[in-house]
Amino acid sequence: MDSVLRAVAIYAVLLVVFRIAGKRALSQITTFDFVLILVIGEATQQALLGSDFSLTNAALVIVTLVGLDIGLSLLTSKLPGLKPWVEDVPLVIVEDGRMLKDRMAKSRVDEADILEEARRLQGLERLEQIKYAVLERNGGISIIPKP
Amino acid sequence: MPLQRVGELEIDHDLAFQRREWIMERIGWTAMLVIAVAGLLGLFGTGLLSAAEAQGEGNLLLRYGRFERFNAPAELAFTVPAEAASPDGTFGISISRDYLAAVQVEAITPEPADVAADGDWLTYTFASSTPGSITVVFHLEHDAIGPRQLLVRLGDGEPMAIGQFVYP
Repeated sequence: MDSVLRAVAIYAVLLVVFRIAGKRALSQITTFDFVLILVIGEATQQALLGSDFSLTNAALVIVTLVGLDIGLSLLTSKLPGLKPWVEDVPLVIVEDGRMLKDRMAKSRVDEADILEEARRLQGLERLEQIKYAVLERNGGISIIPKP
Repeated sequence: MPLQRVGELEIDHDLAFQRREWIMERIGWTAMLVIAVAGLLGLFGTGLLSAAEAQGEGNLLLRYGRFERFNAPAELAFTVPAEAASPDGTFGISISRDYLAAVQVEAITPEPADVAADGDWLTYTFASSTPGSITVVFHLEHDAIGPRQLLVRLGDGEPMAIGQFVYP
């Protein structure tokens, strides 16, 4: 009983915290983000397993976590209104070559971030070559170049 | 969210939701800050707000934590004045058995000379050879979650009641 409740509690806490943190948080933009994710995993592990290191406990926790994830995705497909709350929505930050500064500021994205993704994904050199940029739900930026 | 058109882009964005999300994010950040500060101050165990002292009959001084955590090390430190010892140099600290049922006593320093059950109480008897006050520390782990009442007494004195809260 304990393990299932622990898994549910941790799942809920992580879901809320990472939704609050926003799209850009921990999207592995820097090495440090990656390290932070590892450390969070380490901190979570103890609370999940407690002092019970049995196979049964581990299996129970894994089944609960994956089950919750499946359950939540089923629920969001049944209730479309719930989906943005759980999975976030994408956001257009460059429209027809025009940067939408207000949206960028609120989402903590700057020109340098857009240019970085433009170089990395499309080999673009300048902002004026970008037609659309979309801040995706996972925190990545998609770039659509001008033809 | 149905797909929408932004220029030539087909996308399931939702600006109304996005705005609400930004507001929620800011509220959430504030909440996280408040939680971290509260944690720093000891609202979730170990810290300024948690550390407490209680003075019982016979000048028994107890230092304890108002807020403890499930399965985490906790301490009860009793300071007993020299005059509390009986002529043979022993003194007894009794703790309610209800309380002891919900904790695991990991260690007691110094070790008691004797432990005896006495109705609702468990009495730990310590031998004191040194003049002056003596401090006895109980190292525990809480096995249950929620509010807890600790009753202690020195010898046959009036019991002193202390409230604690154990976080999951």
